[in-house]
Amino acid sequence: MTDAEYVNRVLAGDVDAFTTLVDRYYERCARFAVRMLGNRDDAEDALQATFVRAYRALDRYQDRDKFSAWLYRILVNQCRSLAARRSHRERVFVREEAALMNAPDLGANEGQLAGEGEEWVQRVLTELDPLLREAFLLKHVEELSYDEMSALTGASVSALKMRVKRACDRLRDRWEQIKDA
Amino acid sequence: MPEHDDHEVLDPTLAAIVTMARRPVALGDAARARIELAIQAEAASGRPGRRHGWAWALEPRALRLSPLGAMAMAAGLVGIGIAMGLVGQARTLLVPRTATSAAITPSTVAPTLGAADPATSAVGGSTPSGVPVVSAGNRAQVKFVLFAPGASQVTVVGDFNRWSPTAHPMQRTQTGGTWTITVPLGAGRHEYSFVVDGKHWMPDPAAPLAADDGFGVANSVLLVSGSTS
Repeated sequence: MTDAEYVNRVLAGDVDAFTTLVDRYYERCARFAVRMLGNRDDAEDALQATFVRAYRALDRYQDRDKFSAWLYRILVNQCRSLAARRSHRERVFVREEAALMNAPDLGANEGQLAGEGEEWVQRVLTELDPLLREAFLLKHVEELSYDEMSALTGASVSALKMRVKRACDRLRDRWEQIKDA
Repeated sequence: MPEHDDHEVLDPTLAAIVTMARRPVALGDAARARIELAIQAEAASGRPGRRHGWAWALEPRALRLSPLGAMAMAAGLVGIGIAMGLVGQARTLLVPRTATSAAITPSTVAPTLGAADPATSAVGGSTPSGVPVVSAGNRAQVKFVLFAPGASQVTVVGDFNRWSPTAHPMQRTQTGGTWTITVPLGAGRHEYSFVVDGKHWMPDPAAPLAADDGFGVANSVLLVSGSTS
């Protein structure tokens, strides 16, 4: 069944159908939220708020939109709101050079990269400006097209391309900086 | 080397970073269960389309969750009252993490007995009293579960072990914050509690029944049926 068909079932009173939609997108949304927000607690809050808002607004969802894109739009907004609120109370960006100095060998085999590598990447991502991080994740991790990103974020394609390029440059520079240290 | 629809080819360094960033992130069954709770609370308020009302919440239903998720959901019932109280408001509700992170699931029975999981049945409303009644023969294998990621030691105490904090130490599962132990119990009414780190006594916040222990502290109550299901 398509997403739109499940949406129609939910709107017809079958609440369980929404669980199927949650199941379908939970992992991708969780990954984006954690990568974007840098910690699991905030990511969980964003995720919960996203699905609740989606459920609440489902009767306003239009079939002409892809459900996934519509859901992502809510998620991105939730992550932005949460990050903005959080920035008032704390800075969670990791600045510990010691931790970053222990960056893994990106040329190592996949097994070695699984644990510490992922943690290091999360930290470096968190160092990026939020808009750059968001663009990088949507483009290269969630594999959206620039047109989809533009519809989702409201930013122009050229602005998004610039953000992605700057994010890539900074990630590469950060890696070179650590490697040369 | 990953290539994307806009013809961007990543160099090896960025490709490695992207590969790691694409790895799935597990938030855990408890997080998934809290989303389910929040949706249930939202549905109980009648959205979307305001078709469902309270009838939906009272209607028995099967929930597709892993065993841990189902138990975490039962524990999260502590928070659903809070959630339901908030759904009428404009803001987005959150089922608090503390609703499950510090909570204990109701007792569950070994599946070999064929009894209903009270965690699930309580959510579905198919247990009229909400009491975890375990159908078993002479003795039921009752599994106690506590989600307490910050604890270094957890034991279950009750009238079945003369309230000894050393008799039934619980084991931390591989998933991290969950502690479990299975205890054979005879038919009848049992009072129990948990002892965290050897000094903090806490009743099961998700247990539907509680009893005053005579010292102003509530214990949790478990009923084990003598009949075989």
